[in-house]
Amino acid sequence: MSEIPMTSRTDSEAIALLKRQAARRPEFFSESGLDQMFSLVMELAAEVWVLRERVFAIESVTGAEDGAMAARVAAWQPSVQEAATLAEMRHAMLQNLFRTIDTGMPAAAYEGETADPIPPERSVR
Amino acid sequence: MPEPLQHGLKIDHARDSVARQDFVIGLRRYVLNDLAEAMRRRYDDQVAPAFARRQGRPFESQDEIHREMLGNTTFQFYSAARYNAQEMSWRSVIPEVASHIDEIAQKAAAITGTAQGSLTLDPSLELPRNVTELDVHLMPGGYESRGDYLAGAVYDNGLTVFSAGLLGPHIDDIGQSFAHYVAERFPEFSPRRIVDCGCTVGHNSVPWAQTFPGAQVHAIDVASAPLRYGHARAESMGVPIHFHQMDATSMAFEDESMDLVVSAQFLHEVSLKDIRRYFAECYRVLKPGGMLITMELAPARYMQPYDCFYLDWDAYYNREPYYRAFRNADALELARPAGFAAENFFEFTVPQYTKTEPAEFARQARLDLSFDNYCGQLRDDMRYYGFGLRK
Repeated sequence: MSEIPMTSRTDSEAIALLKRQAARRPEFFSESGLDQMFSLVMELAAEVWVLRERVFAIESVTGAEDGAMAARVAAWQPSVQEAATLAEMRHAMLQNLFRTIDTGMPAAAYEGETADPIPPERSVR
Repeated sequence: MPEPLQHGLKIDHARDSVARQDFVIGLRRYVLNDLAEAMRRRYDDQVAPAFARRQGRPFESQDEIHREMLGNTTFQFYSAARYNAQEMSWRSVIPEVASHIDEIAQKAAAITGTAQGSLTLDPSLELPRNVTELDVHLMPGGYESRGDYLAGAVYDNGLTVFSAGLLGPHIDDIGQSFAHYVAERFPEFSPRRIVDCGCTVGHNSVPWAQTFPGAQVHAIDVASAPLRYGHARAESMGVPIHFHQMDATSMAFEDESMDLVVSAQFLHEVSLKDIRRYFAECYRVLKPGGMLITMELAPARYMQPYDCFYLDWDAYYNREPYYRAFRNADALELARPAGFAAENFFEFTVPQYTKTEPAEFARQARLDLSFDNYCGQLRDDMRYYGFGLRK
């Protein structure tokens, strides 16, 4: 396994670590759910960039003017095995996109010493 | 792209992972430079004037600014983007590190012993709760992991993304800058024994051994996983460092056995009570004439309320519970009970060694304390703050 979570499967150790979080996430926006939406957009932006770079690399390796390659891509149909692989990749991507909603986070937040007794009213809910 | 780690524990990241890390680096640089500037303009042009009109006075503290900015859209988007970029720094490397962890262990086993450094772990050491239960800097799992290299490897690889290229090719710019500051500012000072406290993977310990090759360099931390990784990391670079699992507030070194005690970004990670104990230990282990050199966050007393508000972001949103208390404290007052004298206290700022021409760095290292608005902020054109004490 050497791929990233949104475009490939991860092993259990990586998934466990990615889900581990010692305290609740802060909320910066007053509208409910907007913080999760923002995270979703950021993950999506990262994924878009990864794909843009990969497309750029493919075009660079094959030659952007290669009309035959473009036609082959347009006509391509996944095999059964390839379709299953894509389904797993999509699922991993969706898990990552919705990571702030389905966190697997323990309910208890860290209650250790704080540096200052004036936490902002909306910093941690 | 993230500057590849340049030591024997480096792993090959898949092309898509590198692309993801590139994105996070770009996001962080955008947030810390462009968005930060946009937020400052919004504050200057709208938030501060509106507050002054309403209250009949300007802002008097960073806390007032913080409360006001909580409702500001630019602050909300800045904070959300920065928080997510922080999380994504670690998330972009964890799958790669986890999948290569056995390879890292094999490399470490093959490397150990090549540079004549050492690793001494203390399984009986009781780890403080802020290490075992707090994901400082939002790093999943924190600094300790189950007897392997995972936490150290996640930290090392994640730091290359987090630092967005600002800490140089070995992510050691802080260590380089402070070691060379001491060499330039105190040419007569030739330390023979140095200890770096709160060293994690020793990335900032290595420059001290490189700058003072005649010195015996020790590096201590309470967490074993970064030490284990850091030992192999230093060995692979051919730099002999003696790593110890040891609490900086209760060091095992003998009285008056060290010429120089250093730390980088360490004190703000511990409580004021522990800082006092740390200074007492420093005084005990330092030889007469020895020196304490500390790289830290810039003190609040030297900064305008807005800049304090800006730096305090980490205290509220980056799991740094002791950050504000340290910045608001007076380091000298914390150190005096240990025996350090006020006349032996000095403060300084230095430019980034790996980003500055050597002659210019040497010139600036000899200047007196100077601050600018970006002092202590991780961004382009930053200066580091430090203070020192002579015994």
